Amino acid sequence: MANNASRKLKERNRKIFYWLMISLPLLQFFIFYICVNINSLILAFKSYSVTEGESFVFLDNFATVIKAIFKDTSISTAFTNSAIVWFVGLCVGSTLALFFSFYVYKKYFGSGLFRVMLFMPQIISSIVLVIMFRYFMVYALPEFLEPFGTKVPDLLADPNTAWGTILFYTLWTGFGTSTMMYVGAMNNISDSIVEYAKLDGFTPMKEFIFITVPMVFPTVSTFITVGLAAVFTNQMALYQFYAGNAEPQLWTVGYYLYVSVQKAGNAEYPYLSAFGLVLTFITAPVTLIVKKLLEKYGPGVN
Amino acid sequence: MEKEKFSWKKFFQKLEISPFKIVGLIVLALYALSMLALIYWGLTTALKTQMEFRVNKLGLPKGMPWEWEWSNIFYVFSNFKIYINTATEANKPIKFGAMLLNTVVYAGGCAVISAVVTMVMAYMTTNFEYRMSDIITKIVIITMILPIVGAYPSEMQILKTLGLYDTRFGSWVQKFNFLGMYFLVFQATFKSMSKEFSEAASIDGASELQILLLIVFPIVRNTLFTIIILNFVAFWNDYQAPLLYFPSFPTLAFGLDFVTRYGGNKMSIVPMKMSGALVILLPILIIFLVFRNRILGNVTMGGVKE
Repeated sequence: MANNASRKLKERNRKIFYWLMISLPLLQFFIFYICVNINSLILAFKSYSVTEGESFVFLDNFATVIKAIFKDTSISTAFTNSAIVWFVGLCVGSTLALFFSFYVYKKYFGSGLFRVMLFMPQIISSIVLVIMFRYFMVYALPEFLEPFGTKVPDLLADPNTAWGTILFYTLWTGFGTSTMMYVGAMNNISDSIVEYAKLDGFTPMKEFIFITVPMVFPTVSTFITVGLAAVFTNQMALYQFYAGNAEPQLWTVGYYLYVSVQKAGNAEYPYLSAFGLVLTFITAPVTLIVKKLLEKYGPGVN
Repeated sequence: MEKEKFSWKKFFQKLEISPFKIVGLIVLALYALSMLALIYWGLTTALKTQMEFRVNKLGLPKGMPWEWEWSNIFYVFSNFKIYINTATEANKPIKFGAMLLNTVVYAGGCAVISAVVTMVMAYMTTNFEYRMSDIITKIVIITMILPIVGAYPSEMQILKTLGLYDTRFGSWVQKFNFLGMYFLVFQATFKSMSKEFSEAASIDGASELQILLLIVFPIVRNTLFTIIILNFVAFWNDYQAPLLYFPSFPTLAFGLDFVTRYGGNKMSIVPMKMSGALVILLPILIIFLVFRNRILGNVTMGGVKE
């Protein structure tokens, strides 16, 4: 009897401790995730003016957003650019990241140095990296190529080359986290599988394609899904390069939103909230479908 | 005895050289070279005068190392200054020391708060088998997958309503959350941890708080420390959140962005901009090089290998 009471008391204390420990983080989550998003939803149906104050406008903000997406060439360009960045990142960036990770995981020649170098852009502040890159392109690259008879214009100032240059920069600086995670996942591959493959005469390329990639595919799939979810928040370092003054043909949706919020006052918040919601409505189902497809049709190891 | 015929194929097989490896080596060597070239150029440019930079854009600064323009770095320390508009003061000057303090308070505070809260929540959800634990784990996974775009305006409004906008405390409150990838890393660490010690302590009459502080914390301290370092680096380099949510507390990254864009007189010349970049880069580069094995040491979504 006494034992039972003591166990009950212990369980009650456990529960109190549990709720005490999780309550503050949950409150933070409630305010900064749930309330923020509910407020965003409410804001999207409101209008604000200095003379009339706040008023409900129902779907007017959404109509303005849809109109802007289809009629405003700057915004439609931002959508196209965001899609291109994601697609190139997926096809070129992810493939190279996997390839680099395999090289590091197999501890081939120089892998220690390469691992540090691949992670370097994550360590260096993006502002610092952009400043060095920007002036390197303006001063060092032309000077370096001059003896070879090549004249290099200011690639970041010329509208015809700026987009390609920034896309290259985005890819070039984007291997750190994915490589670290992929190498971590590759290190968890059982040694016996690798040994069997070796005995079967697998070349490194065969091992990479038929063993390593399928074995780490859950991690790859997570990166693809998270990358897709962030397709409209990717700013492509445009703010670091141009602050709020990038040419509209360079915009991504993430850049447009960030700069708009930074410049906005109360009157613009409802439109921007509606814009954010429209983007969520587009991205959420696509992300979930892609996740399901990857789970169903992703490569497996037989 | 018959002499074996020489074959290049066998020779490469013996050396374990394959086209795959060679291509990898070339591509990665080019990558490393491009990164090193940029850093080398930034460092050497930071130690030149503007006059020298005009005629020598690629080479080392002239003279012996002790004759290089080290004064650029000291000039940055004493003249790195920006002007901001606060609610009470227009064009308020903020000097290097104040920005350094803001950066340390922001990056240090947020790194520790974010990592500890995430660790505690992961511990609770792994070791207390209540229905809420499952819900919390699902919340983390759903928020990672479900994109919420453009919540900035709403977040600004809520911060202003709660009186947290443009305050240091507000920056910490924003980071008092458990969402994100590191929650899964901690969960995996706790799942792989033996429960023998905590069970023995419980039998000996230790409270849950004592078990958490005296047994669990020391066991996962390596993982916790790694994640604090990763967070610290990310927050040290972050300039967008301070710019948006705490404009009165500019960090060094924020200041460098401002100075290189709008800085007048001597701060606007290229060698001085590179010196400013160097001043921000060095502390974090030293931390990285000291802790590189820990930072790059197998952080996976399946846990951290100790």
